[in-house]
Amino acid sequence: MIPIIRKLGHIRLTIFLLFKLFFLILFATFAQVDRGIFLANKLYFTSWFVWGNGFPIFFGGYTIGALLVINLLCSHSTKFKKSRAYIGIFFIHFGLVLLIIGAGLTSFFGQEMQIAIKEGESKNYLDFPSQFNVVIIDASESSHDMLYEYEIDDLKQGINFKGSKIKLMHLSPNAIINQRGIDNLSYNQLGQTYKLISMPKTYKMTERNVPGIKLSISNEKGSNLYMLWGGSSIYQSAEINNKSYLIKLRPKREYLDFSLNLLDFQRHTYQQSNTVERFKSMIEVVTNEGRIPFTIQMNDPLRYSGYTFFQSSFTEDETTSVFQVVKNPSWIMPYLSSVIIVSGLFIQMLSSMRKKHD
Amino acid sequence: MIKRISFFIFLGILVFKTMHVPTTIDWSIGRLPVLHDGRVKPFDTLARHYLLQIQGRLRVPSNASPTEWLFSMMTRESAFKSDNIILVEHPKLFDAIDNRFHKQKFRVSELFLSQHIERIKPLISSAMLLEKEQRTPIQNSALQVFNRYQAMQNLRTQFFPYNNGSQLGFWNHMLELSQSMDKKDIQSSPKLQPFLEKYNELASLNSSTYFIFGDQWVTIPEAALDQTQTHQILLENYLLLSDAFNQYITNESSPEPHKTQISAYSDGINHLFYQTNKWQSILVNLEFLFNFLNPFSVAMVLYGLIIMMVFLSRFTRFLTANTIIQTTWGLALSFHLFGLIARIIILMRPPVINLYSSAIFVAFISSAIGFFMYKKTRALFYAGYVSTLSALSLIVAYHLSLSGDTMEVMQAVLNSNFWLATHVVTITIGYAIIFMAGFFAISYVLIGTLTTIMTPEFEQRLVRTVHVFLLISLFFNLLGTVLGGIWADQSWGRFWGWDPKENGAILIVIWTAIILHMKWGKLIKVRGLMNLTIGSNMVTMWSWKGTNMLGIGLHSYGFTESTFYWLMMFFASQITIMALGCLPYRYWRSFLK
Repeated sequence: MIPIIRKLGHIRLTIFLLFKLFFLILFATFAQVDRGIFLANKLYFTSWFVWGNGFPIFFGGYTIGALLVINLLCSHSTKFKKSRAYIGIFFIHFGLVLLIIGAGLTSFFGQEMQIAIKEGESKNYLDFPSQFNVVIIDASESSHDMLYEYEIDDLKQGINFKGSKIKLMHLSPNAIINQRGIDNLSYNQLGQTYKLISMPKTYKMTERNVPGIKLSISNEKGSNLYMLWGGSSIYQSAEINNKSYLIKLRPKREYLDFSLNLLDFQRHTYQQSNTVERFKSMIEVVTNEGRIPFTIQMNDPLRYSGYTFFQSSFTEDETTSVFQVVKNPSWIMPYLSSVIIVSGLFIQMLSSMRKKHD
Repeated sequence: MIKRISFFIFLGILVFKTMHVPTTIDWSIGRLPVLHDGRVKPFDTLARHYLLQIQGRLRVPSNASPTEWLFSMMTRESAFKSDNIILVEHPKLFDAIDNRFHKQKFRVSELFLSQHIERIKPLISSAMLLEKEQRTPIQNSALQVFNRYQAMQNLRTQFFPYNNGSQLGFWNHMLELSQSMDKKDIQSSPKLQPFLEKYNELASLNSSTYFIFGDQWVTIPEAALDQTQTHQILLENYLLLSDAFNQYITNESSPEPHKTQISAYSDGINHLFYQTNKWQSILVNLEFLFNFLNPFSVAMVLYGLIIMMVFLSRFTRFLTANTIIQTTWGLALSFHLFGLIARIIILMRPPVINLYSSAIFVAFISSAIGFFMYKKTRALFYAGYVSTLSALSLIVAYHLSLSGDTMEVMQAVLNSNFWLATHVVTITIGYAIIFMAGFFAISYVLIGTLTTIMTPEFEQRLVRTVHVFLLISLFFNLLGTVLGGIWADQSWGRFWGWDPKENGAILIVIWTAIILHMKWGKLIKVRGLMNLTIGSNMVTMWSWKGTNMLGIGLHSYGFTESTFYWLMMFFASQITIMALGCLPYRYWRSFLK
């Protein structure tokens, strides 16, 4: 057993893995230029292998991270000793292990969402900006709405909904809509006057993909075609078995047990210039117990109930403020490991200085 | 003794020549406060900014100072119209007109462009439709020429219209017209027409240069068109100033009385500014002093001088240099430090806020460390090497400064002194120290292969130095990266986003860790250590300058094609040295025996 652990903890393996990591990061940086940061990260870092033509051609971030953790643990388990000089090194490496594990956890459990609020309005849900779902709403009750939500992928096979079959006929991952010259009567509502135009997927950080789909809702009597587009704010109505529903393609939502009220958004520019000095949003968190006022600005986020709200953007007319929202249960990990690493570095430096003086 | 005295005289002249010694006009008009791009600065800084933007250098034809040039542009009709000022950076833009334009870099006049701009219009309009990365080099150059041309024309609309040379004359005439009109029959008055002409002429000026009026920042046309005429007296002061300046330029035979007038009018404005806003007035004067002393260029020249002295005293008997080098180095450091502190005070920011200031800071840190190493050991070697590194870094900074104002205001996302002071400064110190390690490694290879003076003791000393510097740089780079992660978590919601710049920072850390682990694991000996450390120069340069050129991510500030060229040259040089270092020991001149 011991020889295997010793091999796994060998410094040659450390160096091999560090070289692998070095080149992985270098290649990923170049890939980011062509494919955008988001996709490149998915291909290189949050994956076990980097694939090329269907073959694994390089270790992915997960593999290297996991192996490094194993290598470090094995190395320290065979060489552990109680000396002052060793403590610093141990701290540095222990912190690194925590950092790598934290990064892994974040990529598994972290979620990034968005919320845009108009001044004077409040909202109690967050949007996942890149994930679109089909919602069907039964608004017949006056006290509440019944909401049915489906992921686009689920509709590929077709699903049964109150005796009708809903099936995805066409999907454009990124699309715009444009007015038709002549109405197409085979569609209902939006699809009659507008057509869907597929666009190439974008990987730019400043743009987002807005999907469009075509759905058929059918029963034994016949079928209806609907066109839904993620960028439209209209809820189309659909007759399903003699009952009227609202139907829409919209970003997946996460509902909060509190709501956010935007009191005021301010943009300060430097004197007589267009360069923005700071953005500032005055908000209220509205809960059952009462209202709590907060100010969110750049470099000064709001952490509340497991969510962190960051000032991210605003609309041209400066009445709507956009926040990025992160839910990351392991957010404390990097802080913890940073403290450990930095104190390890200090101890190491002090002890090596003392060695010199002796 | 005589040698030493003559050396210090030489040093004095050298420093004095490198400074920008102000003329009388600079002392008066150059110190006027202006508000431009969100920051209050002396008129002199604004003039330098425009000169760099339009002609890519500070020296003006006909030996005018930057202030004289800019004030002429603003207040004198068709000033510098036929001087070759606008920079063109492509050999194929105008070579059809004349073969002498078949050059990579030349300057043309505003007059020339007004006749020939049509020729490159198609290139300009196609360039405007494209994003920066998609443009071809010739489109890019054409657009730049057009922007410079427009900037030049824009300068003529910053101040006030003319009336037979006198701006005050125009203003008085306008006031006269407006007062002579009867309120009752203003519509039917035949005098309305000339008034409207004047009014439109004034209203058509599109000024973005804000001058100080008591405690308010107002452009000159705004002050003139103000309904309530609250600024009338000060406006007249400005117009008197420009008329006096005009007379000073045209009356070359007896300039003295006009100079006195110019000083009097601008002193009046400056004095009022000092009374209403003491602190800002002091800052403006400090910045003027900063421009005057030109501290970073002086430091650069002095570092160059040290390199020369090291060579002279090492290889000739001309100099026995210890005190001289120490004095020169001390002087260089004081100029360097003054520049850094002045920037900190003027901007109320930590020393590193952009690529330019990081280069300045890298030069300072390495120079300061090197100075103490030299004082302790008296080894000429340290003086020579560290000065080379500092001088090179300052040259890089100088080239970066040509792209415009180096004291710009910070964007909202970077507007945090705390994080700028911790993360950015730590990382930059890390860069400086790892560059020093890399330079010592280069010295090992060059001295070992090309000369016969490498001894085993010297080798051991270099190994120790490189090892220590690698350790310290690992500390600073790791600490800086971690601090950067915390900043990112605070402002963007993630500790680590794999942004190219973050990748660059972690690459340095990993590379240093690789070298150190290989050394500890006894996988490399002296030569391997040195070669890998030279490799760290490339990794650091990539992280420092290269990643910004990718044009993506949150750190992408500042791409220039010449930067790319020099980056490639730097890589090539490092690879060459590493190849030299890979030669078997029997070919090294120092180890031939």
